[in-house]
Amino acid sequence: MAGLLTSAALGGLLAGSVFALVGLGVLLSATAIRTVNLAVGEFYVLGGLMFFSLVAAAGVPPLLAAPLAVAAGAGCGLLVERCAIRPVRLQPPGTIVLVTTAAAWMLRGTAQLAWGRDPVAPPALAGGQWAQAALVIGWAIAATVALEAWLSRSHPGRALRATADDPRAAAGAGVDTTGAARLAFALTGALLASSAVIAGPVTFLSYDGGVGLLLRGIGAALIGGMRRPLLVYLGGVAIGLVESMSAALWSSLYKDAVTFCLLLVVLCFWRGGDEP
Amino acid sequence: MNGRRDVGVTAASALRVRAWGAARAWGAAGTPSILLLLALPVLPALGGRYAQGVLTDLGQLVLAALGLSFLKGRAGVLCLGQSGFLAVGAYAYALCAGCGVPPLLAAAIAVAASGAVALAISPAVVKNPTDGAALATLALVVVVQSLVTGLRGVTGGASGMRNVPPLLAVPGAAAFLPWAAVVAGMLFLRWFSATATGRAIRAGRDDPRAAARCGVNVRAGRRLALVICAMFGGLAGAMTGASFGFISPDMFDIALAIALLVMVVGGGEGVLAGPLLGAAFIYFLPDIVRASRDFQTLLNGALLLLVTQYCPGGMAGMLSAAARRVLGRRTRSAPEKGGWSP
Repeated sequence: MAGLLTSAALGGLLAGSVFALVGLGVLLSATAIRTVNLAVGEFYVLGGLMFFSLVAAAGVPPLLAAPLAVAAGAGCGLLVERCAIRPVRLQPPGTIVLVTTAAAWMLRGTAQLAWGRDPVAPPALAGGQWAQAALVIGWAIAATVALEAWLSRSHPGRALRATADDPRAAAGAGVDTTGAARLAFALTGALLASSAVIAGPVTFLSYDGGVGLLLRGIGAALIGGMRRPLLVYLGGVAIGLVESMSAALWSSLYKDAVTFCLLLVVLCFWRGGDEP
Repeated sequence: MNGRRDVGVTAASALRVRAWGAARAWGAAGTPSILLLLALPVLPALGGRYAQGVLTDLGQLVLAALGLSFLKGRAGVLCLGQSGFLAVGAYAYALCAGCGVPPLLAAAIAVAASGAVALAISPAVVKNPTDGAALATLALVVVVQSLVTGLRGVTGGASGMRNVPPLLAVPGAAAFLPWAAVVAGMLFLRWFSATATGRAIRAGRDDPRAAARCGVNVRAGRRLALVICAMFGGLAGAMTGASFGFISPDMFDIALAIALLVMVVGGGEGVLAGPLLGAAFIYFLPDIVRASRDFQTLLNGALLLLVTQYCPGGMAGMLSAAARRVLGRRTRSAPEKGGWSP
């Protein structure tokens, strides 16, 4: 029993690290659009699939293919920002959510056409199961700490945070809000692509995997209050632990149901307390 | 002084006209479409099996899209999970009818079950009608799919349920019933939008704070709209199961929910004829562009993006603008641009 619980906790930490990384992406793009970006899961899938193709089909060595895939992910984020978000950035949040849905669906359709329906596993960067798990967990912690420091200390990070809090006041204070949005989306794309390069061999990648990851990442971001990367990381790990514990103690068939019922409960308490 | 009063009078009368026009908008666009719809069920008698199948599918899609159009266009709530309500309706119908409950009663139970599920998730939906609602309904689809796949003993798991009894054991009923429900639903929505409650829901969409100040319970309005939407979805789901005789979790996935959303937004949300135009367009699109089903996802995404950015009024808005240009005057049923106040 103790062994089962330990391995479930480790598995939960591993899965939770991936959810935390997706949650960090949700937080980063939310600074630009002030609502959730439903295309984040697709950034992850597409970045990982590009890495897979670079290595498996084009024969690029993995250590060279990884930065290329990350750059492609950043480009993907910039493309979505330019073509989908910017034309409607002054519209109400409903339109922006709708546009990110459309972007997510286009990316998913592209992945379906280009890579087919079967899930693939990109080559592992580290040899061995334990090294791979340590790499994923370490990358999530490193990204959290880096993002926390960058958002609160650096000039661009603080400009991004100011834009998230009040775009008009930020623009009035001389912040380039369009540039901040561009930066946020490029970073989101790069972060998710790099996460997929590192965690892809563990999670596997298929064109329809984006939605599940997205919802778990949003759950992490909501638990973390959508503001501080550290809390988002803890939220992601909490979701991972709940999921693996429910699978270990009850049944893995209801894993999704447990997680998303939890998400529904969290959504009931999300902001809008005094809004009608 | 005089000028200011004039402005005031003009604004007040404009408001009155706008409120009146808003209540009429469903009706004006509805009259021709209802006449058209009453003629449609005659078609399966003329066409062969293929036409009958197309009418059955399309009627169910229009029925589900009609509820979604009301929720999105009138209450301003973004729902990405109508297929979850369809699944609840389909499984409730199949389980009840399988236990020997008369099919029509089973369909009523299915509608009630969908409404109850909508009521259960409504706290998460009514609070944040855009992003919160989108996430909650998206999560609902995954929860429902996971549950019906997991409860193998009851629902047959991923391989689905066979031998779902038909609603009416009359030839041609499968094609006729959805359209009868669509006509009834259109008449209901047309009537309901003009009632005090319907107008209050609309006011809550246009400006939640102002509506709340005027004593409108905005969240209760959204909840009611969500339940109505879910009931349309539940009925459509029950009819899907009844007409195929088979249901499985794959039939009610997220792709269906997004396709329904594209139908609603593309057809023109909040306009009675919108779901009809949108559903017909999306249904026949793969045949028109001769693309394989694999392109459906990309096409739906591209359509959603283009419509949201370039013609928020959808097809109904385009048609009405074209009619205005041809006739050279303002037509009575000018649909608003998009579902959102500027």
